[in-house]
Amino acid sequence: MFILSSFTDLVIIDPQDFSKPTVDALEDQINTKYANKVVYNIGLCICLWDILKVSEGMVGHGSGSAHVNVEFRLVVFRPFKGEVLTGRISSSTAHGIKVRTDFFDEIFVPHRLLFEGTTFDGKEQVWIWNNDGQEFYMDKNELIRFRIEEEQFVDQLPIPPHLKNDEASLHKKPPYSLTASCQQAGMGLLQWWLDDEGEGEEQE
Amino acid sequence: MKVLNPSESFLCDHEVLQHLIAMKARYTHVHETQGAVHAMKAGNLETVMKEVKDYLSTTPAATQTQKDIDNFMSSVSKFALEKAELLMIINSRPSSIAELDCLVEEMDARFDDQGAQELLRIVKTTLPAGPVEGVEGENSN
Repeated sequence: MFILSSFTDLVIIDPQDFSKPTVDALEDQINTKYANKVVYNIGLCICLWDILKVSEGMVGHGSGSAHVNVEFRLVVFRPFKGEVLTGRISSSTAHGIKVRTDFFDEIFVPHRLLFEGTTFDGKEQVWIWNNDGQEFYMDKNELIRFRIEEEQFVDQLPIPPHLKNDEASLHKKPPYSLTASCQQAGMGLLQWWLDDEGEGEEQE
Repeated sequence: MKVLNPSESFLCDHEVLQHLIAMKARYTHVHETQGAVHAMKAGNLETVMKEVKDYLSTTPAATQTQKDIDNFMSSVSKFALEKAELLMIINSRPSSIAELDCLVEEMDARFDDQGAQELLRIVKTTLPAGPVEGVEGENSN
């Protein structure tokens, strides 16, 4: 689920941070820039892991800030294809199920990647898996296990001025989203599979 | 910004959780010794640290120790498992054959019934069950 990625970047330390130890000042700057941000084609950055190399600080002409080249590694959330994760169901629509973890919301299980024989109850807004005459409800906020199938990065380009008030510009796509599946025995709500027998128990 | 290596290595949940706890402890120490101003961090960092920690605290990573993982890795070495599969087993600690079957690709073709049972037994004995709240592995030990 998490990986280490290494980067180099030019970090600018302002004079008011000169009283801090250099490592702390660099760590704060790097975390401010990257923590909880998505880097295109890399994933969701969590925080700094370690600093590998630091150059001499250079003071540029016209400002008192120190410019430092830093080589560092970040903890990044980027599940690999086929990885099995758990999360909670945040909402269900006729298109599929939206799943979130505490720190990442953009996971979607489309209708076609759910168990065979799964139907949507429009009245209760819930997906139901009909298995051998038994009904299993996929209620909101339940813990669910799923497999990552696809990832999608969307470059967040600025919107040109003439399109600013467009309908489409109001619904920006998330920079990083995941598509998951829920089709194999063992997938689905965690409570279905608690038994050692591997057969789901009837709940509720 | 330049990316040197997009994925240098995998981290298991346990390592990430320990890293976050250590970071938090360091900041708390600064707070106590140098005052709140020095311990103030960017909002985005505080948010993501708390959220990831909350999430991982409900997974088996919360109860594992480095030693458990070492033990598991040495006892499981007789099975030909991929690195990614081992990582997923450590992160989610399956407690039933069905769960294990999700994590290990084509399990019925690669291991016979006994092999699968043996693998499950190793998982259950070497890795501690996750926190009860997280539902996983409730009915063992």
